[in-house]
Amino acid sequence: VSGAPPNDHAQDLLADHATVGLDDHEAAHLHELLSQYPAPGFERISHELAAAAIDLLIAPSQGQALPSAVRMRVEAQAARWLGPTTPVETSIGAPGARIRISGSRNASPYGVAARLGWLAAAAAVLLALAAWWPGTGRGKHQEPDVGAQRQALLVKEGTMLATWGDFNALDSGAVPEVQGVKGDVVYDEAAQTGFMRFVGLPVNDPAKEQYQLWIIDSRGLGQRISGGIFDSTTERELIVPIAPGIRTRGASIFAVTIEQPGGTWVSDMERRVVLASTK
Amino acid sequence: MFQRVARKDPAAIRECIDRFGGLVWSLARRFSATEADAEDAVQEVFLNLWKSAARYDPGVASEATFVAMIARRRLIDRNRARRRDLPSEPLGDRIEPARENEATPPDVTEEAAVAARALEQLHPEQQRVLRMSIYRGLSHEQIAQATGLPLGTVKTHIRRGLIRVREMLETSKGVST
Repeated sequence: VSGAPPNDHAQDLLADHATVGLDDHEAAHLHELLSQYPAPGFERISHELAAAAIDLLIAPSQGQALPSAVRMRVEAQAARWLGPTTPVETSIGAPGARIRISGSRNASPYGVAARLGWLAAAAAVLLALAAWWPGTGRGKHQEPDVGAQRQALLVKEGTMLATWGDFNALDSGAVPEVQGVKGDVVYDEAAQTGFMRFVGLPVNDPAKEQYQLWIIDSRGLGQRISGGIFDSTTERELIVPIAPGIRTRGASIFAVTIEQPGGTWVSDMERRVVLASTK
Repeated sequence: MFQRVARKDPAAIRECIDRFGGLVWSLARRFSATEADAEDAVQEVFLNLWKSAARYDPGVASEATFVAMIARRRLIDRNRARRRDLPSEPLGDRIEPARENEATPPDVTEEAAVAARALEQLHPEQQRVLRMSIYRGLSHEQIAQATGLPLGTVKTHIRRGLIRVREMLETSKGVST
């Protein structure tokens, strides 16, 4: 019977499976019926695929975006599924006190490291260890694993998430100097901390110029707050902690510019890179 | 991309969320009774998607169609479980209006374009039943109640409609049964 189509009853069950689902008894019966029709191609183009194709006639036109809060939950779930955190490179800086950390940071020997409860605790423990651990030669400012800290922050209630886009909004000023950078901002205003994640941010020469984050809160563009000065050491994934110069209140826009080495107190916002808005 | 997702490449996972988050969310919203239910469903769909990534065959379907198929499977199963746990809900305004004249969106996948051509060949009543079943996830009984058609006719319309779409997909992909 190879190649013969299933009978009407099997076809009914296949249609039910693709549209309303089957109970255990029906599923077992369908399995039994299909075992009599071992047509190889039958498994490739299924009723489910046909139903999905019909569904896609309307689904893309709805044009909905995944809400930030839901995306955070999905990313947290991805962290649990992926296991130990992935290699990251990061730079952190502030005017006059730049610290750089780079290299692989997935050295956790524990397979359960990405479980979020563990991550939150581990981040705190590692931070404490880094403060006193002798012989590391990296000083008290070392951040142990920004990837893990970012993931822990992502699942914290009240944390905001915004995706980078080209810096062509905000006002009618200069065109972006850098385009196509991907990534996002995670920011916990209650804790005044957060992380920027970039993919495709050009590597800079710190002797000539540096990146600077600006946070715009309820006080508006005129009183933008420096969120830190940093360097890009890779065009692959880069995670940079946020360190606002003063306390933010109602932060809603994050913008990155290119400034002179050491940053500036008042930027003309002429050399634009990326912008993310929570609005 | 799905090959890299199957290898648990974090960048591919993010790309997957970036590219298909909106699609999964729109499907979840349509299949779910509440926003909270849709949020839970999105998480389940993505987990299923990552676990199923190794099964993706670009010769059979586009990535978007594969995502829609995995998402629908999870959402249908969730709805089935909810119907088992809860008393049947009144139809009310959940009934999908007839959309016989709906234009095909310009950015559909290759498979959706084939499906559109297949639907055009069906009788309007058959199209309507199929859309109510697939777009709204309504049960055969609900569709029969809404349309006044006998239950057997509803089932036949859905079965024949899916077979027609499937046949045309097989032809377009060069797969024969």
